[in-house]
Amino acid sequence: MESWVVATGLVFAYILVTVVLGFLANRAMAVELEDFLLYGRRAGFVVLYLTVVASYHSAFAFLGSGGFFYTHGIGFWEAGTWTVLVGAITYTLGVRIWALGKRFGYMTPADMLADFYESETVRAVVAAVSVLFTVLYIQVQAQGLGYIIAVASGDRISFEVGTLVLLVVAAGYLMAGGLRAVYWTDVVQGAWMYVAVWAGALVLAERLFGGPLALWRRVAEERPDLLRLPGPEGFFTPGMWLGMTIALSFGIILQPHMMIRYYTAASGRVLKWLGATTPIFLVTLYLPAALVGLGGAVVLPDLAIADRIFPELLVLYAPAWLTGLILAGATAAAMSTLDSILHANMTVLTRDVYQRHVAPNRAARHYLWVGRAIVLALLVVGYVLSVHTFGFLVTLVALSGAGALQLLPGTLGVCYPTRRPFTRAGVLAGIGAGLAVLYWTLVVVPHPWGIHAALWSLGTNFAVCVVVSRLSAAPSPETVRRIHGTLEDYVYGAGEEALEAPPSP
Amino acid sequence: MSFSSHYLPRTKAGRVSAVTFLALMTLAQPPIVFWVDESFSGEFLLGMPFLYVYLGAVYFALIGVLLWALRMRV
Repeated sequence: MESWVVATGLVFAYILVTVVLGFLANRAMAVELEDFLLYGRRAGFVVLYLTVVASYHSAFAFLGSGGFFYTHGIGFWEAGTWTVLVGAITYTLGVRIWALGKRFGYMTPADMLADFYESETVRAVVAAVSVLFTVLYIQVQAQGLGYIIAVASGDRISFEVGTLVLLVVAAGYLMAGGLRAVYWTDVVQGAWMYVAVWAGALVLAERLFGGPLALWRRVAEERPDLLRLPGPEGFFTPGMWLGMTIALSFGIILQPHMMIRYYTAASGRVLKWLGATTPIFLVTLYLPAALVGLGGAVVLPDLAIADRIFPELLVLYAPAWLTGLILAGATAAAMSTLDSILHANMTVLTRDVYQRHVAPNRAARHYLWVGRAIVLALLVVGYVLSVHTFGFLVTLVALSGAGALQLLPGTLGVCYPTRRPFTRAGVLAGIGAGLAVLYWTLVVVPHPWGIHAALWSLGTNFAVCVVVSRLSAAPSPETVRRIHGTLEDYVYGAGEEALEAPPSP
Repeated sequence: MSFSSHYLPRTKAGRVSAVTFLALMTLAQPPIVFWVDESFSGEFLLGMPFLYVYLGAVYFALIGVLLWALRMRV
């Protein structure tokens, strides 16, 4: 049997597994909005762990990171800074978001911010930012899926067809089983992608160099420029280093598909365990990526699309069955993020736009069907964006992350009580200024003076938010007492009991 | 209506874990990481580039702080 048949067959066998899981989830699902959108707020440690790491690591981890090591060298091992930070953010901020969600029934990021800042304008702006910047992320994942199928089939299945097939599958099981289907498939996808990336990297290092240590020696001899900062093209300046740490930690956590996961935890303790242990998975996934990217730069130095280095090496140097299994893992990485983003955007649009402004007070079944229709619309948007725009995967992720990052001041204002809380005017002005500066420093004059656009935009956002908050009306004392009082009781008082009883006066 | 800041930890374990985490994170940030790269360029440790091993050690120390905080119920 030809090798491309084996590789493509294994990828499609994997896809079949996810479809079956999606429809099993459908049978277990109750016709309740909270079950469809939030897994009934009952996610335990194992499920939540694998869905968080699978959603965080995407086509970006499998393709973009190898491509980045290939082009910019060892500096991309910086990835450990933002992945560890993701754990710390979950441990501190994530637990607070969970507590407020449980106490007040929030389902989306906009629910929380609109409640505290007492503003439907805040809800609309947060929902718009959430959707706008994660649609770009759909494009990243869909393009990754297209690359994988094209490489596995030796370009017999075109990029466009591969992208469409996998988008339809992800949307299909999401529409069938809601977040339960996403979580169940993520469990398989998270485990599969981890084993796949390690197995692929070690096999390639052994076959091409005689082992990982020999690989490092060859890279040092033939491409020493890849083992230095700021890298061959001078990418990793201090400003870019710090900016990527912030953009790819806070920026991704603040995207709705990650924030909504916090609402779904069964308890705060589950989230703390998650925060302390997810970096083990997240960080160690970049160790084999370094072997792939740097080793690939020695073996295949003139690759036209750097993001394709991992699948290209597999097709050329690994047995077909292993290539198929690993590319299925790459498919898992992309699909697990894609389905999560589709779900999050569906949740935001159903909850914050349709249920709030178009058709309030309808039956749960009605909103379930509206949500499914929204997934279909997102599928079309994602597909069109994918086949008409091509870009470097990591750059696209950074753009998405830096956009959602503008929600940071407002989110901290809700989750961290202080003597002088931010105001709705401050938060809105900060988001507006931050987005304007982001556009300027990312598109018009990219990363001025070598400082990442995320830092320029976030710094501006915070400064404007603080100044305007000093000059404008704070949220009402009742709201501050209700929400910050709940956090005070939860963090420093009664713990989870504070989330059952009315907030203290 | 206002509350004492939640940005500052109120327990000893909270303060220790926050300060240790931030201190370790600075070791993986500019300018220190660039100084390490400049000072140990071309050096290998355990068969791997020094910078790779150095950053890996910092990351695992950071994870250790998170696990310690969990154990101390911070």
